Amino acid sequence: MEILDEVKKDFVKDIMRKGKRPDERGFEEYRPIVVEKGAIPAAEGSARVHLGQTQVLVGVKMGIGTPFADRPEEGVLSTNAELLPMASPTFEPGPPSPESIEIARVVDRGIRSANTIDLKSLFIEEGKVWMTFVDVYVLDHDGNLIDAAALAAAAALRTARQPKYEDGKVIHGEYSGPLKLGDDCVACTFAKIDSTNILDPSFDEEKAMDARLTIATTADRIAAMQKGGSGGYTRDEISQLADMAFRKGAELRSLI
Amino acid sequence: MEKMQLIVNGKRMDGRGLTDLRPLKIKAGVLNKADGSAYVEWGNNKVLAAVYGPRECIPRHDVNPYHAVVRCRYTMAPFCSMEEHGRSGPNRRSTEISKVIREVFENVVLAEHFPKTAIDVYMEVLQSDGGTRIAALTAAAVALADAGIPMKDIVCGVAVGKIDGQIAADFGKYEDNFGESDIPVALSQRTGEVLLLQMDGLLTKDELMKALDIAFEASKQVSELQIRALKERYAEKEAKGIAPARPAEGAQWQQ
Amino acid sequence: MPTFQERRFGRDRFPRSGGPRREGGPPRRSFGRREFPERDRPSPRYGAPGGQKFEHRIEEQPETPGPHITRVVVPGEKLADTPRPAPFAFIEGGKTYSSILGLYDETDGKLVPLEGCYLPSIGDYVVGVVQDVKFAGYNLDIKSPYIGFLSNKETREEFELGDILIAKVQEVDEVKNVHLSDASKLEGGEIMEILSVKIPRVIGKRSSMINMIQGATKSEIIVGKNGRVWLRGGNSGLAVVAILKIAKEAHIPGLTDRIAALLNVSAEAQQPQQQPQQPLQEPQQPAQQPEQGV
Repeated sequence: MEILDEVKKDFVKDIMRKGKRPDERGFEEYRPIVVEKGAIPAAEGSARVHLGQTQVLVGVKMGIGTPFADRPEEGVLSTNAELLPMASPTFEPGPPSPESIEIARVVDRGIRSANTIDLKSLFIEEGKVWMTFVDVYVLDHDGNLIDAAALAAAAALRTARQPKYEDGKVIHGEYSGPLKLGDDCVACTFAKIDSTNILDPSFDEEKAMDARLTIATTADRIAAMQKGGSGGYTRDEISQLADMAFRKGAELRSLI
Repeated sequence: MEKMQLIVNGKRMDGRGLTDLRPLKIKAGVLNKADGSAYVEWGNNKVLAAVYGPRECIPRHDVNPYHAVVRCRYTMAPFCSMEEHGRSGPNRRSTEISKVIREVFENVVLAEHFPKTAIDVYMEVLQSDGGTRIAALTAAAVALADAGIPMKDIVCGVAVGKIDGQIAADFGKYEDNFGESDIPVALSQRTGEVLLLQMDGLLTKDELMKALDIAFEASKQVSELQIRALKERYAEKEAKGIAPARPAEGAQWQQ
Repeated sequence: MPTFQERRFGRDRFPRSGGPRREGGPPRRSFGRREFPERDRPSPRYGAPGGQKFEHRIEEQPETPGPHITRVVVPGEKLADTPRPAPFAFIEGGKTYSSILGLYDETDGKLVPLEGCYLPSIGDYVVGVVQDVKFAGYNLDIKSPYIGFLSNKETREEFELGDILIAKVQEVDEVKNVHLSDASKLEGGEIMEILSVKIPRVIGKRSSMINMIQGATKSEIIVGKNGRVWLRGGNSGLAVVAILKIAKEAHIPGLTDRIAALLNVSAEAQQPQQQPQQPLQEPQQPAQQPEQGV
């Protein structure tokens, strides 16, 4: 199927030169987004996001563990992403690929920088803290997994409840209340095709892109950035995209 | 933890009779990229199955020149359990389950139509509460039909077993943990053949035969729901926003 | 998989699973290599001298007159209590069963798959993409688990990686090696993909459907049996919408009328000779969150 990718790539570039996108969207337009909170009640928190035809499910689980040696008074956040083989004919089962690791780490950085989870509030006693596991499950891949994953993670954390902890044990299924949360962090990803930047690339647009810039924001701060692909960005481009990221980030945040 | 009585006055903890199934919902065609897919909610189980194929078989050394190879992968999400966070990816239990499920589909899939190809079946347990391998297989069978793969039958099944000394069907996790025997069964309603059978615990032969009878009976409901999920996709529906339907000419619909 | 697997380079699908039902985004356009501006030129060569118009032909079997009783069937479902052979049906104990999710016509005993991949069959014309240039010929991606091989002996032209060709399936052996012949390059235009099982409806009885679409849109269209359709010029956007609608609603009676309505409504309102038109838009939902579940 790779040769077809080349054919489609040509087409996407042709269309972009005429100022259009294959699905007729504006250059700054997200595909239709649906956020379903609490999709997996067994988890402490969960959310499923549809971004166009991309579907990502995030589950949040909490457990007891030991803190990192250099941060003994803080809980632990651990983020993982699975690109399920069912999500795309291009995904194969196996150990985490660089793509899945990148998604997990970018989502993690956003949450951490924005202090979405108050890690200090997860401290229980010396040597014992709450661990928060955020698992990103990609179910259907039609492009822009990072934005979908970040949005689903933010929504899942918003639904998350802290399990009861009594007599040194976790009582699963009973909760002491919602997780103590700070600011929501969302990500906006722009693809650069020739010299045009477009928001929310679809699968086919990603195949044609030269570079990609993800900017994760809270209401008034940039919390994480990640550039991907081998193309380059000018300083002015970065400035424009940062402005756009704040604007579009606000739209995403309103969906949580 | 002290064990509660699982059966009181012929009723189980959730009010069910011994051979009653938990609520079961099945939906076909839920993913965009996969060739076929299905989503099953069985009690608190939530399972997603997807099929790719027939497609080129890679790695090449798996290829069979006479028929398609059927490959199955059953895994559980790290957030699927009410209890601890789990690890992603396959483990020994899921590898075994993948194998016994594959053997079911190797029986019913008419693989001779597609030599040299692979048919890949992926099953993800998103939320688990006992009987997940049967729920996964139920979803996979629908996903295979949804993908247009020719089969001799849509396989269905039920996990049966023994709790509090009685043979019963469809256990939740609690019953699973404290029951005396667990017997997942998958079968072809049409031929009456048992295609998946596992068992643990201790049973007399009579108990086993009773369990199988219950499995055959209870799985009929599962089969009906699988068929309905597939046919629902073709219920007379028209794409919105284009033109209104006109009455049919020359064809009558029978549902 | 969506209701009808339209791997259009440009898609128009309804979303699946959970969540409130909503329309997908506006239909995307189809894909293809450089789109040539509309111009007066004869059809591409199809191997026949003089560039004849491509004749779509499907094997039509005689049909019983009068109303037919049809129903959707699933694998393992009984079709008849007597042996009634049909592709993808099997006979066991003297009874006939379906092996696939399909549409069964009781009157004629015909079983048509509703899903499934393309299996190459001798005589089919397919739209393929050159994916490998070998010493002895070319390997073509023909949207099938099987690759189509075009031998150098079968063509005088030279093709390149990525070229889009129309070719005939010359031979398929028992191990599914597929040999192609009569290949011609398709220049410019765009391609869309739908399930190959829907193609007979796109062509129609005695090519009636495809002729109607071509007439109304003035688009050059070549329909490959493998589910790839090549279009060029005219109101190809409208043609794409019509073909997608056929693929979605092939099983619902009255399709011809609905397609005719779609084409008439739009053909009048638009001038086919101008810039490529926007295809019909589905109402687009704003990016907002409908009711939340918890």
